[in-house]
Amino acid sequence: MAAGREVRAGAVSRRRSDTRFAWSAMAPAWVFLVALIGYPLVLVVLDAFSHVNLIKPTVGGFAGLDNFAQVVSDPHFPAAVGHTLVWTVGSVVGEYAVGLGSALLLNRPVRGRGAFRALTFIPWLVPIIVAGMTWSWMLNPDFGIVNSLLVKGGLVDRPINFLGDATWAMPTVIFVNVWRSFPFYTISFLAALQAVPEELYEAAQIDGASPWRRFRYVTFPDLRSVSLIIVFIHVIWTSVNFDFIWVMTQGGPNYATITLPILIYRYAMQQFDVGMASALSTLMLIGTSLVFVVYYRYRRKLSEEIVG
Amino acid sequence: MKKFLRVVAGLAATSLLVAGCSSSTGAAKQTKTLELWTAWTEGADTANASTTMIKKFEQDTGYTVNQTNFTYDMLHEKLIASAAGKNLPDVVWGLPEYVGEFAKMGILADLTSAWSSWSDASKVSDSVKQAMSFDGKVVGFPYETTVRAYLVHDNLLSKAGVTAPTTWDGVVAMGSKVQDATGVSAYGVAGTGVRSPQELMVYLAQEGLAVADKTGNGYKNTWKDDPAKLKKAAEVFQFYVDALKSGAVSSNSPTYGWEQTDENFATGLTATYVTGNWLAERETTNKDTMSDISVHPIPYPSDGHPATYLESKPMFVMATSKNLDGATKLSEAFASTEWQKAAFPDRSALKDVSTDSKWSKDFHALMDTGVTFPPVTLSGVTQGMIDALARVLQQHETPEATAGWLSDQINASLEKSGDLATS
Amino acid sequence: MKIRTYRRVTHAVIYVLLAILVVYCLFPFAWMVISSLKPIDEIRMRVPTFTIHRPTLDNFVNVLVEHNFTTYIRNSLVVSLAACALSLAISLLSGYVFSRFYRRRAVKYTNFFMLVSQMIPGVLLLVPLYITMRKLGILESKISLILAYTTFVIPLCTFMLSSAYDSIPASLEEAAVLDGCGRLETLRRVILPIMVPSIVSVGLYAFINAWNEFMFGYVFISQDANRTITPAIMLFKGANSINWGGLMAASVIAVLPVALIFLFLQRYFMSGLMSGAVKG
Repeated sequence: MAAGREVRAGAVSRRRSDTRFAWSAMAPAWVFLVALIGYPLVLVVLDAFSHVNLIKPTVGGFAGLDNFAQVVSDPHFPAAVGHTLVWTVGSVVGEYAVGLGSALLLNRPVRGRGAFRALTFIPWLVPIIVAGMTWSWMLNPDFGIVNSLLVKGGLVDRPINFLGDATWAMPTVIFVNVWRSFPFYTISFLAALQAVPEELYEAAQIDGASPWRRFRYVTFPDLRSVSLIIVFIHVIWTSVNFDFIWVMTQGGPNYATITLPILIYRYAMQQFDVGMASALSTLMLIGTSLVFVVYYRYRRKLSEEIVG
Repeated sequence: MKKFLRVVAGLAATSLLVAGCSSSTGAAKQTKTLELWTAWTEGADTANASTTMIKKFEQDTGYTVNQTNFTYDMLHEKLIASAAGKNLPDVVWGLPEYVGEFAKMGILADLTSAWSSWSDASKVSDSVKQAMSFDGKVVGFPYETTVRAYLVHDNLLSKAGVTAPTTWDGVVAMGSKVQDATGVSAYGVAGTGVRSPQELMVYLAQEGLAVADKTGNGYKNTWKDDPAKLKKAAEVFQFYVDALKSGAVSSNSPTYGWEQTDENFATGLTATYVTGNWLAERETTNKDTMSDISVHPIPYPSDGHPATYLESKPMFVMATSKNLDGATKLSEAFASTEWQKAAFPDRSALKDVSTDSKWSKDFHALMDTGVTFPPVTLSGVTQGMIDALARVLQQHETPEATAGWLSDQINASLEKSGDLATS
Repeated sequence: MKIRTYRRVTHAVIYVLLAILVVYCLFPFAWMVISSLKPIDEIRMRVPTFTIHRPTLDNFVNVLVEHNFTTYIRNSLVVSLAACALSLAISLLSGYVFSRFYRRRAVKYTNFFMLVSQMIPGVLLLVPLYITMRKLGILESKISLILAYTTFVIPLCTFMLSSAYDSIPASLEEAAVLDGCGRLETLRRVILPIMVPSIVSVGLYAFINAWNEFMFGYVFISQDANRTITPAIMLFKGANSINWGGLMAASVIAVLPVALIFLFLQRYFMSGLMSGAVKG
């Protein structure tokens, strides 16, 4: 009897010290986030429901749902929502495919693998603004090298106005985004692939499994956890991303690439209506929460399988 | 592994230490320091000459000038953040577009009395003074003033057997003659970006139309109040459509911004273009294509009058400056004859400052016909103008509908920014 | 016989795919390097070419000497290294909690908060963060940038590291606990050595994020002496003209050191360091 109570007491005190450990381990992260993000976050939500205008400092007060109504009735709002979806899904799918493919390639024992890896990494190193400006220059219909090569190589008759044509603009911007972002996927997958022991591969190969089956049953399971995180965080980053499209098209041509973050920027910096900008941002925040719910369900499932 | 962790920890500690020690935080400000934010091109003549003049200013007045360089976009966002954080500099290079918005934010100092006692005030035209006034108060000194002119590649036009047009009809009549003879387009047009509203405003002004008129206690776009005005506005858009259809203007123009139109002209891909005298530097970078330039007034409609865009950049003094006297002196110094001659010889508002090159005096000659944007918050207005051009050139709406739409858009924007006349 | 041909073909296919990958990645960068070596009268030609008539290092010299870039590089290095180290330290701890304690409600809320923090657009962070830094009195210093950059990357670093912790079975820790190690010691001695590839990739991510950051770099810093490298690159885009030579040279200078760091670090990605560690 006493021994049982001892064991239970030991278990309880371990759980308490576990909790203490968990709290103190998370504390530094909390301090940073609350101190620096807490205030902006609260401000955004508050401003969404208030009249805030930088060039009308006397205007103020509670606005109820006015800002939201104005945002949703903006003639460009439906297009922005659609474009944001296309932009996000297109980019993430492209990045995932290229990132996973390149990670698998770069994991193979080939000569000069280190150099290949370093070279693949470079798109990610180029600052977004510079990448945007350089690609815009290269894709220019009059003096861009891409069109020059395409025409010389006989692939097209006339130069394509990649960023100035309403049908080409969004695919082009997605293409450049994939180019710039996929190395992050590559690195994360490479790191995760290291955890798969060589022996498992060889065993599967000896057993006569095809490359596809080897991938599906040996390699992929260990990548699930990483995949989940990268995909969901990139869904959020891509949907909030402003710089890339702004540098290359400013939301044009004629609103063909306008996304919600660009609308937010215009409300804040062109109309100086911080209330509307905050309202739209709050709407996007609600969208994240939905994404989060989906992500967390998957995460729990995975954690249960692995950690138990 | 332990070593690796130790190294990381050591790096972190060292970096923080270095960061803390070597950063120059906002220590106690000397009472005679002026913070100056500029937006010049580094390494160019203006930058070098200004730096010399600033040193002279320091010696003459005993103030220390802390100058840092940015781009105009950076300046815009920094000013907004600094205004909110109550940490503004003393003197800032501004753009005419900023006058309305920053004045409304209440951060610009009133320089009216300084202007009236300014010795060079008589050398500056009224429109320049208007460009940097708000609500009857002067809020800036003109440090850089340019106008636009019609630049022509003489060789390309002569190859096509065409003379430089002086009217809109002349532009449209060029048709595809230049394209057929030389393979390049005849007339450049910026269809989007910051340049396009400036071009559009000139064409409107040539028809006697203003983007917004001062009425009562504010501003209003009055095209729809007068059918004759609306008709003229529609003619302006019709000019764009005709020029495009006739083949005189490149079919990609609706999506060209200034980077492209300027580049096209400098590399000889466009035979003629309305632009500014900053293209002078392209004579050195593109010797083969820029050797045949002549300067002309901008083509105007036969039933209208000449006009050009007057861009007069104001030197702002921040209202929160602790050294208003010194800041005002510095701002005035930039606009003074000596300084303008040294750093802005071909871009000055002063009537007697100009060089002999065609890039200076031929442009300067057009200054009297210069028009400027009204002193209101502009971003919604210019966005409306860009959208209107997109509607007529990319969505193929009729010029009449577009003119009416733009009028509504301008008034909606004026209302949102509190500039609309209510009486 | 068949196996050998199969292997050879596979090898060849892999090399071809790698070559395509490299071209895809490097093409714009190659264009940047070539443009940076062109003299001023060749860089803005109507017909773009990959060939240079008179290659020159003028742009590089100009950027490094006249434009003060050595100062900017130094500032960026300090800021990025500090942000990297600080965020690693914080995320190694919080990631562990996320992995092992995922069932706790507090973890779920922290998870949510971290994701939400990534959703605030930069333009709405601008003014509140500026005011916060001013109130803390660290505006205009590198510390403001370090703290801001660290905060931006903590969420992702935490998530990534938590997934790395996930792949390490609890049995390993239990064995160490049985040996008498406390949690922290277990972490340090047993788990972290296995996670080196993930730590390197997460650290790299934090470093690059700080290195490439643009907006807060120019909003928080108003003195040239404290400026970081990416805002400085944008100065080459003037009001009416773009100094492409300087811009390209400056960008190449910004990219190369980090690429070299990566080349040096990428061997930590090699298996061999890893196999056998997780078994048993």
